[in-house]
Amino acid sequence: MGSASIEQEMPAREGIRSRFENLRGVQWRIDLGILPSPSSSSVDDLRRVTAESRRRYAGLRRRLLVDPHLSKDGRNSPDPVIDNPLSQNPDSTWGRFFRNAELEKTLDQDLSRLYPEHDIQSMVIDKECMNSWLLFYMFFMLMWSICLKCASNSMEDEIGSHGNAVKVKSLNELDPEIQTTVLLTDAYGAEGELGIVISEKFMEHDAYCMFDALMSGSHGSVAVVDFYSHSPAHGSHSGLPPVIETSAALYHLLSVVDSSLHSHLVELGVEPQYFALRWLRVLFGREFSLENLLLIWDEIFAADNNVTSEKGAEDDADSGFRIFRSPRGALIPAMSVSMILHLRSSLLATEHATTCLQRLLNFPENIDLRKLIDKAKSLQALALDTNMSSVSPPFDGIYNHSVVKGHSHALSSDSISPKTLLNVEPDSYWEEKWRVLHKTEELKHDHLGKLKPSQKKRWTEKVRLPLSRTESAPAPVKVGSGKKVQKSFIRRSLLEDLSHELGVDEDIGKSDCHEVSGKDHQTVEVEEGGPDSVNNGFTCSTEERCLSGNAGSEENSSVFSDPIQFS
Amino acid sequence: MVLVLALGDLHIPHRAPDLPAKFKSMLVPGKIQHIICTGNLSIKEVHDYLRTLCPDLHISRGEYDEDARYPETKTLTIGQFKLGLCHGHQVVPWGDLDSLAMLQRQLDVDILVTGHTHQFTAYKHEGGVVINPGSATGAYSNITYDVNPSFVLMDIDGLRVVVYVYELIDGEVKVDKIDFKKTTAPTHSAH
Repeated sequence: MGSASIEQEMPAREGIRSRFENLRGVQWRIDLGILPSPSSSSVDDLRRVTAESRRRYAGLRRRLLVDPHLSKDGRNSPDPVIDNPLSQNPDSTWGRFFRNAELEKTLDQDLSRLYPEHDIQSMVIDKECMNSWLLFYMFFMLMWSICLKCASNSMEDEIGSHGNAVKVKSLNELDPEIQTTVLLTDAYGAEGELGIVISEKFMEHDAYCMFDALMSGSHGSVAVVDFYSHSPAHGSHSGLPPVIETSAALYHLLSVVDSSLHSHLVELGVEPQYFALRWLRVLFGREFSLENLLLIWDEIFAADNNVTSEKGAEDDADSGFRIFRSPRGALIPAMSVSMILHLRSSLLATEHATTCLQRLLNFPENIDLRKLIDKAKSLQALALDTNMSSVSPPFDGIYNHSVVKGHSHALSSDSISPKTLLNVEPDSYWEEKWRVLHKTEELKHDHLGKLKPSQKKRWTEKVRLPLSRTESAPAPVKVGSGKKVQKSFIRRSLLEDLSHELGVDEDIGKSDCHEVSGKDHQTVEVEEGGPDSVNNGFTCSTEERCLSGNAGSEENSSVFSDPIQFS
Repeated sequence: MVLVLALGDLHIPHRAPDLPAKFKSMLVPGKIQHIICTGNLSIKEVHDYLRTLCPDLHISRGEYDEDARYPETKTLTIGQFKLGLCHGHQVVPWGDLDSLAMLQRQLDVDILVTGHTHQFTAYKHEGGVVINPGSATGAYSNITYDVNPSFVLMDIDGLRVVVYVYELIDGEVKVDKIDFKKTTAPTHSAH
């Protein structure tokens, strides 16, 4: 595709896009990266690429569709004992043929149930089965071809209405849109019959190409096929199936824009994948009518699928939702959130998860689609923004907190009553408590440190002081396990740093210690976020204080003892 | 593409207890579109069993059939082919090609399926085919005790029919294949 660079005309991309605005089939193919961008290639290139993609499909079809009659006059006439219609050998031609036939029947059934109001039977292209594991694949493909059929129908009408004009005027006098249409439909172009960019005859081929591009994502961040797989996607940092991850991203976005609705849904135990699974897998195909769906898909495909961030890919892989990394990827959860927000009031009125899901899964028919899409677009911008900002600090407290929470929630149905994002008061609260406690402790330890003659002991003691500061939550029961792990990780890394420095020169332990405490303060600041004045009416019992204090020191020393031995 | 199962002369329960197990495991519902049976089932239970394989069942009457409502001959059209069905005990001499060809002309069919001799035979004759699927159970016949169980499956596709012959020899299923192409519209009246 890139090799073709006959730049006959170089108008602005926007101008060219509008050229294909009414040719949805062509526009989608350009958006999905099957056809080269019209600004950098001529109509001949479009023809050539189209022909190539169609040939690819035809080859695939020939290879995968089993016709038991063809093998008969083929080179190797098969052994009739193995290759006969009643053969029980699953690898025989007939065995595969019957398996495919069965699959086809299932597909037919599914299709007729999918859009009962449309006459599917006439649209179904016979023998489209490929492999048994591709059931979903074919299912989606057929749906696709239906939509394409609609698109091509409207196109045919358009050509028909312009038919008279074409006859009268010469090609060059026509306005560019019709001219393109004519050029693309011309059967006697450079490549002969295969060169037709738009043709009802090759609808199936084109549908497959688009389907393939969408499913595989063509090297972008969104590959719909991921939504069907059960294994974590490549480059996913969470180790969760992509659908779950995307669902978590969806809730994250929702929590940012509407925390009360988010907390309501979480409270009811409505997990995002309950409804998002259906929404995502067929890209909202079952929530909207066909006409509306075409418009939504227009928007989704028009969004760029390429990973936008300029930063290293490793950075992205460490934190941030994978799906938010491209505009198209961000638009899909944004659309979902927009749909949820559309139902906001009725969702807030629900009292059970069942009724809530019922409302989510029976999306109303009469909607203002334009508004919904506009909302989704603004949310998309927001999603891209939040993702970018949250990527930069390695341990952004709020962001990571939400990630961990979302995932732990996805794994265990209802382990802990989750907190909303803004609700981080407990942390800062304990933080305050500990700062107060710390002062007394510091004095005590300083005293002890002076008494102990051993140098080793001394610097462990010193380290422990700032560390006890970081340990902001003395009652670990309160806090989610993810949080705890994360904190101890910070602590550990800090300790390692410190031990390293100390190993280099232990004499300046004092200043090192100071540095560490400064670092600690920073991370603490990040995690606070909430209002500081929450410690009204709290009385910390001395018993608790003692317990937590002991636990903290024990843990610290154990963590710390390892580097000492090494250094 | 249509698969047509042709079988006959089962003689259950008088001469054979049941279809051979190997045949039974091969004959599964969902694959076959039509069954044509030359007769001598002989009881209703066999009729019911055949119906489970495929609801589209055509039977002509054999001399031992307890159901007297089966017709002596039957014709049906599948795709481009016209099929004739007769048990064959009425056609003398039994299994004689010329006599059967006469019946084929009478019925004006491309494929004539008959039974009674319990021996598989297939002749290409006068632009048509005369097939005897043999006995599906291997029941002894009026002529011989030496009978191998056999049946026939026809794959009719356009102007072409592929006849698969399944024969149980020494406990092993042997499959044979006969290709037949209909060239032009049959002009039996010319003879």
